[in-house]
This record gives sequence, C-alpha cells and structure tokens, in this order.
Amino acid sequence: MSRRGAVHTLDAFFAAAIIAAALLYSTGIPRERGYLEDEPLEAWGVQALVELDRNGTLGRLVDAKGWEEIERALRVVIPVGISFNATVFDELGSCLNDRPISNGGLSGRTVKSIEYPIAAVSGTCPFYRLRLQLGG
Amino acid sequence: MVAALAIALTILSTQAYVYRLSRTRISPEHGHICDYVLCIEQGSRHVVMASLVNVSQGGAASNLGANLERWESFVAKDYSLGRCGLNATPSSEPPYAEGVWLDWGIDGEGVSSACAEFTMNLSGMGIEVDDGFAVNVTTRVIIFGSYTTIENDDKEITVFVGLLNEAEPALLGSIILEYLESPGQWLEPTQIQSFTDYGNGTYRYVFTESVAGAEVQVRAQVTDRRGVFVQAERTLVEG
Repeated sequence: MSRRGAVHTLDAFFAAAIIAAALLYSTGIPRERGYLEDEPLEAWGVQALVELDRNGTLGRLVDAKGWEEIERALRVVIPVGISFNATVFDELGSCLNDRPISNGGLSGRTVKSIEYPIAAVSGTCPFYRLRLQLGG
Repeated sequence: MVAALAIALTILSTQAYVYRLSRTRISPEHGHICDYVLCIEQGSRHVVMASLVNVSQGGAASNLGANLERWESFVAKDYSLGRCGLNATPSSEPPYAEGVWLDWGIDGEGVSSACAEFTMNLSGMGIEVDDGFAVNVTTRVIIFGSYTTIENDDKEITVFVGLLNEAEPALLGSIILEYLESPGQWLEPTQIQSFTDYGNGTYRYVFTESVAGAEVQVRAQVTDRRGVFVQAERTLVEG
C-alpha cells in the first residue's frame, strides 16, 4: 500500500470514529424528562382537585364526610409516585376528618402543601378548605 | 476529517437544541396562579348553584347575596401567594331580582335561574391578575302533550317533559307529575301506563284518568340532578 493510501485509510477510520462517537454521545442526552419533573407538585395537586370538584363531587363527598371515598378518588387522580396527605377544615378552621386521608404517609425529596377552597352544592352552601400535602 | 467533524457538531448541536426546547416552560408561579383562578371560578359557580338550590326550594332570594359575601371573605383569607380580592354582584337586570329568576309558568315552561358577576384581583410574588367572569345557572323545564278520549270522561293523557341545564339537555333527579282533577285539586296519576326515557333529557309519560271537560291541565314538579327545583303547568287539548 502506498503511503498516500494509508493516510486516506486512517483519515476515513478517524472520520467514522468521530461520527460514531458523536452518535453515541447524543443518545445519552435525554430527549424527554420524566413526567413528574415536568410539573411542580402543587400543579399536580391543584389540577387533581379541580378535576374532582368540576361537577361538585368533591364538595358532596366532603359534605357527606366520605373520607374513604375522597382517599380513593385522590389515589386515582394523583399520579403514582406522588404521596399525599389531605386534611379538611370547615369554615371556622376546625379539622373535620377523623381518619387520615393518605396513600401511606408523605415521602419523597420534596414536600409541598396547597390549600383548596370548596363550596358544596347543597341548600346550606357550606364552605370547606382542603389542605393537600404532596411528596415526590 | 473536517467533514466528519462538521457532521458530528451538527448532530450534537441538534440534540442539545431539542433538549433545551423540552425544558422550556412557563414559570411555576404563573401556572399556580392560573390553577388558582380556575379553582376560584369553579367554587364561585358552586356557590351560585347551591344558592339556587336553596332559593328554588323555598329559601329567600337574598340567600344568594349572603352566600356570595361569605364566599368573598372565605377566599380572601386563603390565597397563599399574596392577596385575593373577589367581588361578587348578583345580577339585577330584568328578569333577575337579587340575582334570582323564578318563573314557574302556566304556559308549559318553567325556569329557575341565578346569575352573578365576579371580578377578581390576585396580587403577590410580583404578579398581578385581574379577571372578570359571570356565572349563570339555569334549570328549565318544558312540558307539552295531548290526550285522546277513550270513553265519556276517560282520557288517555300523553305528557312530554324536557329538562335543560344551561340550555343543554339534562337528566331528571326526581319528578312529580300531576293533573288537575277538579279546581284546586291536583292528583298524581294512579298508574303510569307507559314511560319512555329518550336519554337526552326528554321523557314521555302516558296515563289514563277520568277528567271532565275539553281540557286537561297537567303540572310537572321537577328537581334536577343538582337539586334545583322547577315547575311548569300546561293545558292539554285533544289531538
């Protein structure tokens, strides 16, 4: 092989190696992040409560003291991987739920708390405040 | 070699650009405020609805204003990112009085409605939001029908009942259907011979009763799924 041919071979080899390395490195750059990273915890919580309260369901459940039903509903609407603990207060600020509304206690690196005002659709129009703590 | 370096740089910069784009989003505070506005609007709607439930079932019309005042002060204490000023005004434009319009007519149509206008100001965390919205909750019932004479005063009466929530078909919660047997005496049919639920808020009832005269007055007292009561009367003729 001539000297010139050897240089061309080496050149082609390095060129291929550079492109392969670039492709290999680029696959390491994440294209999408985890869905839990996209939204802050508070957003997940408020959106879940707004959804539950859309047709007055949340207010009715609180009015009927349906703590188990609220826990079940929150388990459905809050993504797996986020822990929650909810407390319900009446208009005067007294705690109403006599059992925990939780999916097993708060855990995770971050804990956030939101407060959600509820107006129940019933003749007396009672107001409640739901404090939702989220960990994730 | 130079071409290979150029290709490699292009691949890497494209990937970095795509990653950077995927990280772009609105600030958390902005998103949180939008969610909060939505939550207050939804709660305000429920207050108007609950007040209409109360007023349509015999409560005072002023209960709407009283409930809205309670709601204003309730949410003012709540906003964790700053100050929330909510101002609610029951509609006073005719046919509304104190934000309520009850028209349980004898022409086959009955309306129970409540309407209020809201302005909201949220401030704090360097962000200020002014929002205005109106809430109108209306339950409307429409009845019509006819009868056919079977023999003497015995009549087969067919009544259609249509229910609307905010001009959209809605489902019945409960209904009391009555006919005027003699002046001042409303009676429920002894037996509904046929009942059809069309699934779109329209219901058909057929019953046979002995009613004197050429006209039959019927009345429907309806409660929708939200608990709002509404009533309508209509005079049916043979047809």
